Amino acid sequence: MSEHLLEVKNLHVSFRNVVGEVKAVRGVDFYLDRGETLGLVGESGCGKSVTVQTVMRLNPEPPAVIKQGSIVYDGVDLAKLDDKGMRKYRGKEFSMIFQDAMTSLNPTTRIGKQMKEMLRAHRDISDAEAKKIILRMLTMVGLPNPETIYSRFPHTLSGGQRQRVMIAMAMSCEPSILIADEPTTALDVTIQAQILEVMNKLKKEMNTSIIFITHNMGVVARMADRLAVMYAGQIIESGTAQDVFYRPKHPYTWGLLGSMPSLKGDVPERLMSIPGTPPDLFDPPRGCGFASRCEHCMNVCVNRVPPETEVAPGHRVRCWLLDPRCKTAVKPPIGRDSELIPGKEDA
Amino acid sequence: MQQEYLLEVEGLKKYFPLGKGRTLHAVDDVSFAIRPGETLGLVGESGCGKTTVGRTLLKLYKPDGGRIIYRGEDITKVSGRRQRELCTHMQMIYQDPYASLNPFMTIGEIVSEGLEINKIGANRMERTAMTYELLERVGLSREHANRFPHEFSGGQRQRAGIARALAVNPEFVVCDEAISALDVSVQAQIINMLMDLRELMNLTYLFIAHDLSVVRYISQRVAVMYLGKIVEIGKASEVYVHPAHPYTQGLLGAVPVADPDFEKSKTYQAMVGEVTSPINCKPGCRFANRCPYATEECRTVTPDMKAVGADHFVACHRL
Ligand SMILES: Nc1ncnc2c1ncn2[C@@H]1O[C@H](COP(=O)(O)OP(=O)(O)OP(=O)(O)O)[C@@H](O)[C@H]1O
Ligand SMILES: Nc1ncnc2c1ncn2[C@@H]1O[C@H](COP(=O)(O)OP(=O)(O)OP(=O)(O)O)[C@@H](O)[C@H]1O
Ligand code: SF4
Ligand SMILES: [Mg+2]
Ligand SMILES: [Mg+2]
Repeated sequence: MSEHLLEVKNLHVSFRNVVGEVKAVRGVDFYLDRGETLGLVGESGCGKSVTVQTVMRLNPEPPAVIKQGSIVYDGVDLAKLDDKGMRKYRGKEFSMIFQDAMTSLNPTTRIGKQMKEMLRAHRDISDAEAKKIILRMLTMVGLPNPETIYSRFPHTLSGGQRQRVMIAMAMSCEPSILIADEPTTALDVTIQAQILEVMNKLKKEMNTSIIFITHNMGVVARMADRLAVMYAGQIIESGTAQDVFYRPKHPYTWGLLGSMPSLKGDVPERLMSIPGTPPDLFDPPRGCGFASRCEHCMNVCVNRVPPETEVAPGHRVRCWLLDPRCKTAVKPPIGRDSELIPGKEDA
Repeated sequence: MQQEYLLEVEGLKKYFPLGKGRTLHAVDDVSFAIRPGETLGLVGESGCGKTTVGRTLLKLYKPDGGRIIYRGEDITKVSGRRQRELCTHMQMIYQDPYASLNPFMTIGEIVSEGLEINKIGANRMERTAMTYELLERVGLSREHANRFPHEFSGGQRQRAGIARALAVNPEFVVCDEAISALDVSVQAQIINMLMDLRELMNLTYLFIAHDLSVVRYISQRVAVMYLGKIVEIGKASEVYVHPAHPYTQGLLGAVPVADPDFEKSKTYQAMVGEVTSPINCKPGCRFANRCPYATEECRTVTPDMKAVGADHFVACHRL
């Protein structure tokens, strides 16, 4: 029996439209334990949002279809529930902070009213209690004059202010899983630091589990206990934050860590970047999703999906370079404790 | 004649009335200048007025005070045809790629719309070819032209927004958090791309962002804003190495580093104190509430900009 709070297995999600089928998520496995933060990073368009929105069953179905897989939460396979069945989980057990705050706030309703309605839909409290909680949450996320914010409309707030309203809203329900999809992308670093602290505090005090999507490797380093790196609809490397930052094994992870601009040192002419673009998920590649951009690509990579190799306990990588039959030795270009990946003799 | 500056902004003000006699001072007496081909980075707290500065420059908001001078011409009050002409010279890439793309148009239509309106390209076929070229230039493919915004990821939409802005061949571009929605590897590609386009199309940028490490790569000069005012402005190399304003110092100290052991052991010195409200501002330094060095003078007298080095100005009483 699974001990995990949430376990996603072999999840496949597609979008069907007139032209065909976008295979956005192509076999994703991950789990989440109580009180831990899982960081989810990866190329734009690789399926991070679709993955977590599928967990909450927020993608309109159709066009979205769960083609395969299970999402087991507290003994129940959410993938099999209908909308009505899901309703008792959403908001209450799972809360989500969206990437695009503007489209998730109702433009015609004042902030306070929206928050109150949402809160009272999930918790049995009085109007006055709800207001008190909301004002406390608005203060907690660092908004000045919570009283005025309470009576304003979303469009009169700045991007970052809206985002903080969203965060306050999601956290006021005290969910057991908080899914944060790039929650601090719109914020300056001092407020970001404040919000990350708020989330960490919530996690400690209420033993909340967090799935944290971001493309900021600094933020992930601060927040994540474990880390999953996605590319073209698959998790290509996962492990503890230390595994992935200090001993990365997948060529895409190397590129990702390498393109991170830094605050110190010389400013190079150009930033390091991974050439090329990710594959079109209408017609995903037969083999490794990264093959067309990978400088170590071999014949086998183009033709067959790399199997998952467990390089250390809990550190899993999908790359042919790590297969016991691979003869090429590679030196990872990045990572504090990286060692040569030796090529092995033909087995 | 070649002007020294492409764009000069003097004492720019934008106030939003909130009713009941309350006014929100979104941009309050902001001055700066940008040389042709230069990139000025604009960083600062969320809600400090960066987007409002950008929108006011492009006249999407009517300024409540100050002057905007473009190539020596005072454009603060121009309207009508001249204003429409200026619109093709000055473009904006928006912070929110979701809200800024028309959901009922395909990406191809969105990009070619600007071409059509400004009569760029001889016929439809030529415009289609130009649209494909623009899409490819920003790292999308021509197959994407027939898809609608909701079918794209955040990053892909942002690329589309950049393609749309570049379609009319602008000379000045306000990039408002243009890359915040992108993952680092694409961010790096887009920064490199924006730098190439700067050379190629002779562009000048006002680069709004809150990620200081990104701004450092693309900007020659940086301006730091706090609650409607610029508190520090100078050469990027100066500001990053010798930040003089306490807020700039706080910002630089709060940037998270890509090193989990370091980040988790760091006890982060959060800037304490309430963020001052931008409504009905009183005189005094607006950072005083959160500043560890604030004195009585800071709370009552608004500090002026002072030179602290070559091309490096700071508004702080301590200096
Ligand atoms: N409604 C939809 N119809 C068709 N395709 C879609 C739809 N929503 C998402 N997709 C596609 O699914 C893929 C995954 O999108 P997703 O939003 O999960 O990316 P992401 O990893 O969150 O990217 P980002 O970092 O840019 O937010 C993308 O290729 C996207 O184009
Ligand atoms: N149309 C409006 N009506 C009233 N107030 C507004 C309006 N637009 C912006 N504001 C206010 O003006 C201030 C500056 O907003 P602006 O969007 O320029 O901030 P910003 O620096 O771009 O922030 P962010 O980094 O969060 O995008 C904020 O306090 C905001 O609430
Ligand atoms: S499987 Fe092959 S193509 Fe894919 S990342 Fe590994 S080496 Fe590169
Ligand atoms: Mg996303
Ligand atoms: Mg803004």
